[in-house]
This record gives sequence, structure tokens and C-alpha cells, in this order.
Amino acid sequence: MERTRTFARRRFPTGLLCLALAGAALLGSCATAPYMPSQRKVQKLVDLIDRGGVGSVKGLASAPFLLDGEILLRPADVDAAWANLAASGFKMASPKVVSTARVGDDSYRLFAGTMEVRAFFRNYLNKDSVVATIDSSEGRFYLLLNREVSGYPRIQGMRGPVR
Amino acid sequence: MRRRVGIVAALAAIYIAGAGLAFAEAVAETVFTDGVVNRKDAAGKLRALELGDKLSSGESVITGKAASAELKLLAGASSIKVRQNSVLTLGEKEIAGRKQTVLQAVLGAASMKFEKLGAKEPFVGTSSCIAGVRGTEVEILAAMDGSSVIAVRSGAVQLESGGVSVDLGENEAVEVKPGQAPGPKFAWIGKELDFSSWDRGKLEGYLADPVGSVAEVGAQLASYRADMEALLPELAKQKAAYDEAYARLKDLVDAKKDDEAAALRDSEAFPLMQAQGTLILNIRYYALTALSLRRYVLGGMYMEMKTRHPKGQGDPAFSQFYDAYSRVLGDFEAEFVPQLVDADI
Repeated sequence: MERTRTFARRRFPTGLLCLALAGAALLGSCATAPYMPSQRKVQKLVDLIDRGGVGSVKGLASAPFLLDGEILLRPADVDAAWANLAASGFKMASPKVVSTARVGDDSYRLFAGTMEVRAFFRNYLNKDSVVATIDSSEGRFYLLLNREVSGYPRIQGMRGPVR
Repeated sequence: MRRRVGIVAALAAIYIAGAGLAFAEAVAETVFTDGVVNRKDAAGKLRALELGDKLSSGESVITGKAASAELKLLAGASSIKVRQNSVLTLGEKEIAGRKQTVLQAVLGAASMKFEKLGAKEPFVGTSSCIAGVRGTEVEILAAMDGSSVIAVRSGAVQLESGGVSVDLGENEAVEVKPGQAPGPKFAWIGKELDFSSWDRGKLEGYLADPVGSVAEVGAQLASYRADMEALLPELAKQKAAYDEAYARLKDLVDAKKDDEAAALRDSEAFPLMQAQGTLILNIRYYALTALSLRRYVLGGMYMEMKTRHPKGQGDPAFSQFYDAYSRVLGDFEAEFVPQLVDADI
């Protein structure tokens, strides 16, 4: 049994092995590359928000969630937030995606300059978290986004309108 | 030399324990979960609660829609059922000379059944009241506006809120509003309390007078602030005494007077450090209870108002609320946040 394994190892084509390793490394690097949504993806999400459809996409906005400076840890509160926004006819009027940027050390200040929001960024965000800035006729919005769910960037937080 | 290092190391270890930063002892085990149930651990991370998970002081259980969890206290066979859309927090406080577990149903509904354990029985409560139990089966409801109902199925409960105590016996219940004394007792003949319609009524009441509801939360936070601030001078006194004893201890260690150092350590330094630890435990209890009230009640109030008035301060209905909310939040930031660490959030 042991001999067969050794034999098989010796006969394995070295070139093929290198190619397989290179492919695995490439796939691995793709899988771990930090997420950055395209402007089109952010716009698609904004359209969904404006249609009041966030609550209908499972897992798109889940706890923990940052609403302005408030941390929502209970799933029921996150669900209620999106249900209320939909019921109130909330829209980012005439939205324009201004920028998307990876979350940095001071990004928390875009939401609130508090210890709690800073801790939210440290405890609950990761290397895939992105801040999207959207201007609307009501004011500026910030969206905290992450890897996609059902074709939309997952929403981890929202602040606005900031005038 | 090894002995001297040991003395200093022992003091350092006690100092860390006194600051409430040492590894907490597990107090409960998860025996059942159904649906989405999360655990906010002592490191501040939110993750799925698994069967068999042991929970320590400072941790919370958060259930989702149509979800539930059941915990078993490690001391005895007492059980806690956490119903859907609820938050249960495990706290710790020094009461009558003993470190006691405090189970707080901060939001939603929980049923608790305790065996008679004498002085080891935990305390229960919400973000606005605390109660001692005796061989009790008790239901606790906690609404979005910080109101709560404590209903006793069997045994006895002594509840305190707003500086007023009330004794509850079998089939008795009481409602408590934040920052206020308990309401009148009412009969509760064992039927299941309808949390959903009661909480909906509280939400409607809140939406009718958001500024008044925020003021009640502010009053409850002020009460915790007063309790916490009452301990700070004593903590400063104990710390000064400890620093003085520690300086003397260090001199003895440096002079290689090991026997005298050991005697000073045992007779003065250790007791002073333990006294500080107890004070810090209770200061942390008030700060963490205030954080629960701020996070789950005041935060929920903000969510309900902001998402119903999404124009924010451009909407007069929201602006009025926001002014009151900002005042309470400012007080919280100034008074309680210095007692918290990132992992608490």
C-alpha cells in the first residue's frame, strides 16, 4: 500500500503539478481579494432601496446593522427599519453614486464620531467592507456595503440624508 | 527572588481580575436553539449560538423571528427560555456581600424557572428593574419603550425599581416603567402573557409621545448614573489606600524583607485590591445595564422614529424627538462610555 503511494507520487507529472498549484494560487487570490462593488452594482442597490425591496431579499441587510449612529443587533429591529422605510415611501431622490472606498481607520466618523460607532467598525466590519457615498436631492447618504447577496451588495449600514 | 516576583505577579493578577478583565466564569449552558439565535460574546463579536455553548457574564443571547433558545444555569437545574425577537443579557453584581448572576430580559419575552438554591439563586430583571427570586417560575416581558412586566407563576419575587420595592407572590404581576417605581400589583392567573399585542400597544404609546418616552429612559439612566457615581469616591479612596500599601510593599520587596512583604500583602494589599474589584464590578454592572437600555431601548426608539420620518431633521416630528434623544445620548456618552470598552459594544 505504502509502495503504491510512493510510486504514484514519483509518476505525477511535475509540470501538471506546477500548473495546478498556480491555478489554485490564482483562484485563492481571487477569493481573498477585498470586495469593491462597481458603480452599476451600487446604483442597482439604490434602485432596490427606492423600490422598498430590501426586506424581500433574504440576508441583504441583517444584524448587526448601523443606522446613522445606532447599532441594531436584533434581527427584528433591522427588519422593522426596512419595513418602516418602505412603508414611509423612502427614496434617495435623484441619486448619484459619488464614490466607493474601502473602510479605513477614520471611516466611522462618516456615521458618528463616537466610541460605539468606532467599536462597530472594529467589531463587525471586515476587509470587504466598503463605504459608498451617494448624493441625492435630499442630501448625502453613506452606505456600508459588503460582498454580494443575490446580486446586490450586502448592506451593513446606512446614514443620511446628511445636509 | 522568585518569591518577590510571585508577590508582584499575584498583585498584578488580582488587579486585572478586579478591573473585570479576567476570564469570566461560565454561568449557563445552551440546551436548545431553534431558528436564528445569536450570541454577543464577551469579546464583542456576534455569532451563532450553538447547542452546548457555555455563556459567561457580559454575554447576550439575541433571538430572531420565530426563533427561541433555552439555557440551563450551571449551578443547579434552573432553566431560562428566551422567546422570539428577544435579548437576554447575563450580568454580574455584588449583592449582600456575594457576587450574584443577574439575568436581564432586555427586550422581548423570557420564562425562567429556578430551583430553590438558597443564596445561590440568581437575580432577574430588565433594563429598568432588578428582582430577587425564591424557588420561582417567572415570566418577564420587556417592551420597546423600556416598560416591563414581571409575572410570578410560582414562588416569590422581590422587585426593586425607582428606589421602591414590591413583593410578588404566586399569580401576581407588576408593570414597571423606566425610571419609575413599580405600578400596582395585578392578578395573573397563569395564562400565557400576550407579549406581541402588549408590545404593539407600547409602540403606539411611544409614537404618540416619543419625547415623553425618551424622558423616561433618561430618568432611568440618571438613576443608574447616581448609583454608579455613589461608588466612585469610595473607589478613589480604596485605590489611594492600595497605592500607598503597594508602595510600602515594593519597598519591602526591594529591601528583601520577604516575610514582612508577605504579611503586608495578605493583610492589606490583597483585601484592598479585592474591595476595589467589588466596586469595579458594581460600577461595570450599572454601566453595562445603562448600555443595554441605551442600545436596545433608546436605539430602538431612534430606529422607529428615523425610519418613519426618513427625511430626518428636515421633518419637524423627527426634530423634536431628535433634540430629546441627543440630550439623553450626550449624558450617556459623558457618564457611562468612560466605563465601557470596545468589547462591550
